[in-house]
Amino acid sequence: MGGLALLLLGLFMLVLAFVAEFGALRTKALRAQAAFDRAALAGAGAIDPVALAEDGRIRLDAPAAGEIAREYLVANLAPIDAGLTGRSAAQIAADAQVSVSDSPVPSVSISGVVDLPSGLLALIGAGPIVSYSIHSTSNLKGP
Amino acid sequence: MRDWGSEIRRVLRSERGSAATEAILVLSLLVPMFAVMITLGDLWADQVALDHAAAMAVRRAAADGGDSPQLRSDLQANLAAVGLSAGTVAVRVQPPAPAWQEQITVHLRMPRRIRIPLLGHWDLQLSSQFSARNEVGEVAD
Repeated sequence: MGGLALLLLGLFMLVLAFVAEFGALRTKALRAQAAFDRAALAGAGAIDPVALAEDGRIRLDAPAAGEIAREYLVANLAPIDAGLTGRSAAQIAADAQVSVSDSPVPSVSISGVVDLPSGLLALIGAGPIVSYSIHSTSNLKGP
Repeated sequence: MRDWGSEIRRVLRSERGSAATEAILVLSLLVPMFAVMITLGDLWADQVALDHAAAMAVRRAAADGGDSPQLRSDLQANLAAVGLSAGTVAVRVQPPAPAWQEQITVHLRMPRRIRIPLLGHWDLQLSSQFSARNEVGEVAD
């Protein structure tokens, strides 16, 4: 009876540790998703002033939008930089794919991969790193 | 007079007594563990709520051109919606009035005390920070 109780207790502690690890990972992944969302939104603010002045159309300045999206991805990933593993916020932003489109609506999309340490989840075959593929799109709507 | 010491030792040595001792030992571990699980879930919920509130606040700050009463009131509403009191959250908007296209950052910080039965209590600091590009202001020549 004593042995069984100890075994169950050990199992319960292990489950608790996995739950804690998984919860921490999900929280970080959600935070990273929010960083990508802010980056896409910042990129969508790069309106081409020349096109706007010439024909009143709202179009994006593609090179500037890409640059701004990456800049704000770094700024918004920086607070969780210490919790990332392998690649830093700057490297994630440099490797991210940014696409700027003017049709059907002006939009900025940004995709990237964020690596987080798996901690105890490595024990059940998750590997030392859990990679999250994150994608975000921001559409620009004119007045 | 009854000898309580030898009475307790006798009960503990019996089969029922050893089962009770086991139960006490196991429960003294299980109760804090359950509390840890509940507290961790609660902490993560607060962290996610704080992140969401900071993300919404920085969006508002970018649209308003900096810190504004509307930002504070939206923040209060967002925090209240998830059961957090705005009074306990320190808000910093930097810079408070940025130039057009300048970076604006909203930083939220919330002290949090966690209590685990039989283990004690700890003071933690939850924080969240987001940056956006200010969309309001005069266009530079």
